[in-house]
Amino acid sequence: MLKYTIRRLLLLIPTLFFVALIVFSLAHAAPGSPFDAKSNENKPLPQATIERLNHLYGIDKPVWEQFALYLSNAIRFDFGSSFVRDRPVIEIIGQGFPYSAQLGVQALLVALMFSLPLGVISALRQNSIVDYASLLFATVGTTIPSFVIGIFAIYIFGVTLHLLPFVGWSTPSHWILPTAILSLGAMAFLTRITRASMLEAIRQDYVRTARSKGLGEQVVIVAHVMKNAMIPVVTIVGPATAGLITGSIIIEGLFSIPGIGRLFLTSIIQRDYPLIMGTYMLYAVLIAVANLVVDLTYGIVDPRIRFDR
Amino acid sequence: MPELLAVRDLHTQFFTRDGVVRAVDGVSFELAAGETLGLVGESGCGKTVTALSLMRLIPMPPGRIVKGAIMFDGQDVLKMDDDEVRGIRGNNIAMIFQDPMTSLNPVLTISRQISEALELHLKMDRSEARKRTIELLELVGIPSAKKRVDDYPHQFSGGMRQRVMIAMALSCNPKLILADEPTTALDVTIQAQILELLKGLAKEFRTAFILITHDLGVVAGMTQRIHVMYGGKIVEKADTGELFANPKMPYTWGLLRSIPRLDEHRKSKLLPIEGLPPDLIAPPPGCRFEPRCQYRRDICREQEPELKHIPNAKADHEARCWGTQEGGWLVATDWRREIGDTRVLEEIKQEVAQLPAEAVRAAEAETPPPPPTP
Repeated sequence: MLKYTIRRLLLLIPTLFFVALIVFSLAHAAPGSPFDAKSNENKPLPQATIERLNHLYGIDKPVWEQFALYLSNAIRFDFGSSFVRDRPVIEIIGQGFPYSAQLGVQALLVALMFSLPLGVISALRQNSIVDYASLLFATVGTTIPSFVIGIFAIYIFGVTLHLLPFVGWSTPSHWILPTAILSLGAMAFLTRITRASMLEAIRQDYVRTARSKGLGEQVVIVAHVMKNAMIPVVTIVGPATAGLITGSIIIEGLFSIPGIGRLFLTSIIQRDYPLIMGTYMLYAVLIAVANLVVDLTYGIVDPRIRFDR
Repeated sequence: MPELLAVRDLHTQFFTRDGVVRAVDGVSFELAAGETLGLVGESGCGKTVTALSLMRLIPMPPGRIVKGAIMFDGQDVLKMDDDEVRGIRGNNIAMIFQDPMTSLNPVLTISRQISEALELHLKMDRSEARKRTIELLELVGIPSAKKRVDDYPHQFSGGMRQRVMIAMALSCNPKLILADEPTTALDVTIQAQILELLKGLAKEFRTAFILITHDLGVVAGMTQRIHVMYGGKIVEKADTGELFANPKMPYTWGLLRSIPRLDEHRKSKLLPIEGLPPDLIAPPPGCRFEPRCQYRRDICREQEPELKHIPNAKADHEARCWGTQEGGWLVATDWRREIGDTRVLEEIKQEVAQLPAEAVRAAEAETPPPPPTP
């Protein structure tokens, strides 16, 4: 498994190279530049200043040269400075990422904590009230956007009942609402996946074999059904984690959390090339790592998958 | 010999959207301790459902055992509570399933899957159970069992997996083993090995077993008695030798005639049984085999024959057939010589030709009992 892990990590290099190439090309292909009069509508810059700035930041060079320069710097962990914020990209992300990551991890844990039992119960009590309730919840959680639910939650728990704070991230009680809202989508989705794969596993012949041995229903479900049913769930959790910990522009905006979620959007709007690269490469690395972790977890959950050959 | 199992008037039904499927419709039979019995019939005739009913493993819903009694060792399995039934499963009655590829849990080691029952029923601790598991694997002929005990099912071949299933079934020394088509999913060369193994071990441990198969060739050397099932009912009961030599029910004869034989002239064709097995939602009112029977008369359609002793046969030979029973039109004749009434055969062929194509396809796809609710 170690050999496999190393091989996969080495494979990360070409993967990230191509991601970087694509993101870089797309960012530069988009019309406009960071110092366009347009992108600073309030205070249009004189043309001469723009040209001097372009030269200063190296934007007047050919794109391939810029890319080569970016790569050679990135290898030395120099990801440049934001054009707009005038601070190193690594500092900007380093400041916000812990908030986003904490929020994301919390949301994921909450989602798993509720969705797994709910999915299992609704599979075992198929077509019961619990099952229908969980279907209703999953539909609501998937279809109603988080900003709608978020605003309602702020209105009810924050403004009306004065139960929970909803601005900032200073104390654990500030964590509750954003974590809950962010977890809803993943929770709804994971509940359905868990239910479906439980139902799939419970119909298998080996479950009948397990029952024919005289095992109690609990042992059958936990030892025989659930271990099999978790395989598809693991597949989903990996990428979901990467998505959750890179922050959500909506939740972070709604609750004034200084995370990096909004950077994904603002960096593009401002054509802040180094920040675009920084945020999207972070996302790419996280997705790649999450997939690797998922694949390694498979080996633990499913013995049919082996890495040693 | 003391009676081990007595099934009386067993009715198991599946309640589906299309109607009630009478998968097992009044089956009765007995089995003495150590006795071996073959349960034979086409797919969909209720063999597997009968076996699953004995262990109360029918998926509920949609299935339900609606009537009957299953006396095992003097106790009615159908009147037991869930805990009592679990105490019997794997311990007193064990089952070997058809497909060893899907019947073992892919994510648990062989050792775990066999030890489970040992720990549960024989109260062994982990290391005892493991030791016993290795012994069992050796017993069923798995080479270097000690090394392979911690392997997973996918590391075993089909035949080896079926050996594992047999080891699992034997693990708690059950009084009865139900082997449901144990060799159907296997290579022909492996089939004989597995059957020999099963036969030898059952004899050694004096375990009674019921061998379920659609293949009369499989039961030939394996069991003392054979019960032939058709459309959810037993249609003929006899000692194995007697059944092969002197079948008394046109369906059994049809089954025998459709087995290829090495010792027969190559020109003699294999004769299939024309038509489809009966629809168990709306079975024929008279004899269930009547629509396909070449020896039929009007009474066959109107009234159902009982399972009764047959003249010119051994004392415990019974069949469900108006023609061969006392006073029947086939009694004094050498009916097996002919393929039956050619006019009737033509009629049957025409009826089959008129069946909607879907029905034929569906029947050919060998629909097993309906799966649990979709």
